[in-house]
Amino acid sequence: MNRLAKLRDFVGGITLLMLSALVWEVLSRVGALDQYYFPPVTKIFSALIEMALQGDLWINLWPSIYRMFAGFSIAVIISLPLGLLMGASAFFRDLFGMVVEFLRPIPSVAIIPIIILLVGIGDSMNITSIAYASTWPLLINSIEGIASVELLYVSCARSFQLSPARIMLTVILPSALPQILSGMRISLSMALILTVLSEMVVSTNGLGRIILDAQNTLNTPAMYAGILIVAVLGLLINVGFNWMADLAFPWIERYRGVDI
Amino acid sequence: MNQDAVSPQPMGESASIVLAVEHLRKVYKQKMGDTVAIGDISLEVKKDEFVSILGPSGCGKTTLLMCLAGLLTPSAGRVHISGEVVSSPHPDVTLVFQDYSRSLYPWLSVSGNVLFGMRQRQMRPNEKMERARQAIAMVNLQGFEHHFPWQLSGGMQQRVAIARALAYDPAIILMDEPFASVDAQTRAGLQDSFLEIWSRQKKTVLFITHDIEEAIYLSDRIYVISNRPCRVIECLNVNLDRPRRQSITRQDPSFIEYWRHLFSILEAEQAQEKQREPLS
Repeated sequence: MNRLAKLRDFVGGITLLMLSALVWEVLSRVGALDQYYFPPVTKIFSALIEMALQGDLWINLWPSIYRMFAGFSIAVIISLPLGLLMGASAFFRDLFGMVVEFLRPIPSVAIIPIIILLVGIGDSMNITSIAYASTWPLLINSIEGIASVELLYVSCARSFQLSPARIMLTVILPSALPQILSGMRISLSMALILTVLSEMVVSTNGLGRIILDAQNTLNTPAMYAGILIVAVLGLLINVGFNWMADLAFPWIERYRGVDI
Repeated sequence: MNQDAVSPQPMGESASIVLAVEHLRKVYKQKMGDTVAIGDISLEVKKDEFVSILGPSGCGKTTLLMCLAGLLTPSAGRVHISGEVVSSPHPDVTLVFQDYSRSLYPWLSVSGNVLFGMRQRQMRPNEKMERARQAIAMVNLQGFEHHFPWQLSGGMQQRVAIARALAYDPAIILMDEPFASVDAQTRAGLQDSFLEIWSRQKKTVLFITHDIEEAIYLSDRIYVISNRPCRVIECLNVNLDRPRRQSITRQDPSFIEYWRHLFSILEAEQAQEKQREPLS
């Protein structure tokens, strides 16, 4: 996509978002929407600004970000090497395959009680839940990416006398990278989901806490403000991740869909 | 056409033979029953010779090339390259595949791809860079060094693959229908530029094709092979002047005579295949 088209899409998207906010505001102000359930957008924003000024926002935002990235990092450290191993070797794929297929479909929320039993209450519980949930997408995508390497890529490298270890590093790994990165993208959103969720289950602070506390104290504008922060955080993480991936691997562009 | 040109074994001397195939056989074991891809093939290629293997589509030509490259293990028979029996990819050989989009690495630039072939060569990095630069110049891709292959046209991508093979500087280049995936105009251009490079670089080329005209236009000698399970039907010497010119060589009466001869062989082979079909 060229710059102009990107700008056009961005402006279009923003306009639609602003229009929706405006419609919400008007409907809420004239009473078509119940202000208790749907407070005017301006009230949500003033709740947000108040949170930021009083410092509530920051003392809850940083713990969430910390937990999320700690959990995600653990997931990457576990699932990337395991994925490469399972993708490259049928032996390890068969060995761990059953375990993975058994654990993967269990909703991560259902695991939280076990995690509380095992590690107790506190950051470690949140981080473990986040790590657990965000392991799967990256693991599955790494296995797939490695196992589905183009055979001609490998034949070609073999004809140039490269050793199997070299081929793994210089051919198979880069060829699997687009899929590994999309696995990471899904893992990141899993991490955000589990951050908020686990904080709602047990936590003394964090974004999940803000939302739940606001709901418990019937402060709906603050509740919406909390949701808005999560939405913006998710958006920023995704944009930031794509930006870094494009910067580090410019050829990934090849694997994006083509606009007709 | 003179008679000795179509005799089965026109090559007498064996001193300069760089590639020899002895009774090669390849069977794919499958659950549904075995498939014999290569029945029995013997052939010889001399140093600096341009030899084509001409055969119908799907006759096992690619299997043959993979065996020659040491990427597949034959079920029986032997492949000798530079006097050594091939059991794994031989350092004197490189391949150019038909499917450039799957043989060039999309994460490497044009020069990255060309340099990739030299990874295991014992040379100083400057030397490799220089050789890559020369190879890219030989295929007229100067100015595209930092492009990615997928940003180039099909013909240009295949030139990158050829440059990679040239920079690797092997004694023997095996080519698997390298010009089959581009349009006719581009193909003629690629044929001429490759012939030009071949005549200057002095390489031994084994070129696989199903295109009769291409085989005649490029080769010193043509092995015609049958349908699956493939075997050599005929070995034909091509005595056409070099350098060859698309507009002149293709009008040469002997070119047309060679074409007629090869066409009738392949036609007879296809007719036999049709007769065999109802039985199988």
